[in-house]
Amino acid sequence: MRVSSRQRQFDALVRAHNGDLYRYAYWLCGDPALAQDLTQEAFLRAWRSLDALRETDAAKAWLITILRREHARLYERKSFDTTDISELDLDDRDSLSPEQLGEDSIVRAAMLQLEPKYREPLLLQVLGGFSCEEIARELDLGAAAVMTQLFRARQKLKAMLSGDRSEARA
Amino acid sequence: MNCLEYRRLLGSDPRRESAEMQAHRRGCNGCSSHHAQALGFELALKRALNVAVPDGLAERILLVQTTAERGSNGRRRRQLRWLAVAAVLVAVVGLSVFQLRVFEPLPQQLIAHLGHEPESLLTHTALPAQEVEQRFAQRGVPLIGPLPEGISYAQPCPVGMLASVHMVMPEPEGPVTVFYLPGHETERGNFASGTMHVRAVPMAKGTLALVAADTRHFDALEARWRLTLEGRGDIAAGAL
Repeated sequence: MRVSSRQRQFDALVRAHNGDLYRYAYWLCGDPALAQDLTQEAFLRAWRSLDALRETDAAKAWLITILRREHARLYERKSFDTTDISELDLDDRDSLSPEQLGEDSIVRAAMLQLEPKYREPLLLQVLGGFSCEEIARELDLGAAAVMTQLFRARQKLKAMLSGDRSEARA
Repeated sequence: MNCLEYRRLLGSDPRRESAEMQAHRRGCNGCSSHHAQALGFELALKRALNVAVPDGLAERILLVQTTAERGSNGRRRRQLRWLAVAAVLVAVVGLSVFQLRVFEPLPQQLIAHLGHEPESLLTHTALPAQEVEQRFAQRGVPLIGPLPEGISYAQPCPVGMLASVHMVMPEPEGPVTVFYLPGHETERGNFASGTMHVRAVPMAKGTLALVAADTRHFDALEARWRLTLEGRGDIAAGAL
């Protein structure tokens, strides 16, 4: 069977970016199964409008934009029975696996506690590798506002982590 | 640049340090230490955010996409098939309508045929008898008596499903169209449709049909054609 160049392009896109997109989706919704669905839906939508992608360098930003819209759409359509991340208790370690009891799991729990307006620019910067200007364009904000949110996001994370560590030491 | 500004910029994007920031850091022990801590935090943050991607995620996405695509192609093919079926149906219905017209009663078919050959009514010059005889010969119709005079048009025409010799005889009150339909025997009758009148008469194993707006010459022409086709010049029994 002959594979079209469009299909080959899509294959390459999925293989190159499925990891980044899944992680971004996971940190948006905090649910692994929902993150998989979101990633899949975003890629299917990308397939339908693949002709709109002109530059390879823009692929990741393009996919993340699609994913963010898909995430917003999902929450417009229905509410999900997912964990309310504000209710996650950093000290409630009984439900965590031994592997998760390390440093990473503490940072992850803190990250899920971060308000979306701080979490999203931080994800775009740390996972997506975008600059403040690129994040500002993606979130439709001013560059100065994005810089402030990023600064505060880190401050809040550090505050949560230092509090947790001091409690852990006590 | 002062320490406050340096740390504000570093806190918003620790991995992008401008030349001005680097210059400040190199001359400030406190900010240099802060920079090292910030990079350590970034490393821990990046590692923590780097959650494991489910095995086979890319393959599952591609499977869903290719399956949906094949389904969509199948739908497109099915739509084309339905279009083809619809086209055949339209053709069949169209043909049926045409067939229905073909099987309309003979008088209506004869009148309709005049509309198909309007040029037949334009000429008034009589054709040579030989030419008219040839048309009858083409239809396998023997002529017993002499042809009437003044036939201005003669063609072997199909009328619906029937073969005919289509002729026109100009008269002072208007042309009379004469059809002879060999092998088609019908009952004698007079019909009218709009301004047109039709007389159908069984004659010599066929039917003679006269079509005109004015019927006053029908009797004479019927008698005249009977002479030609049957060899006797009277009007058949039961004439109207």
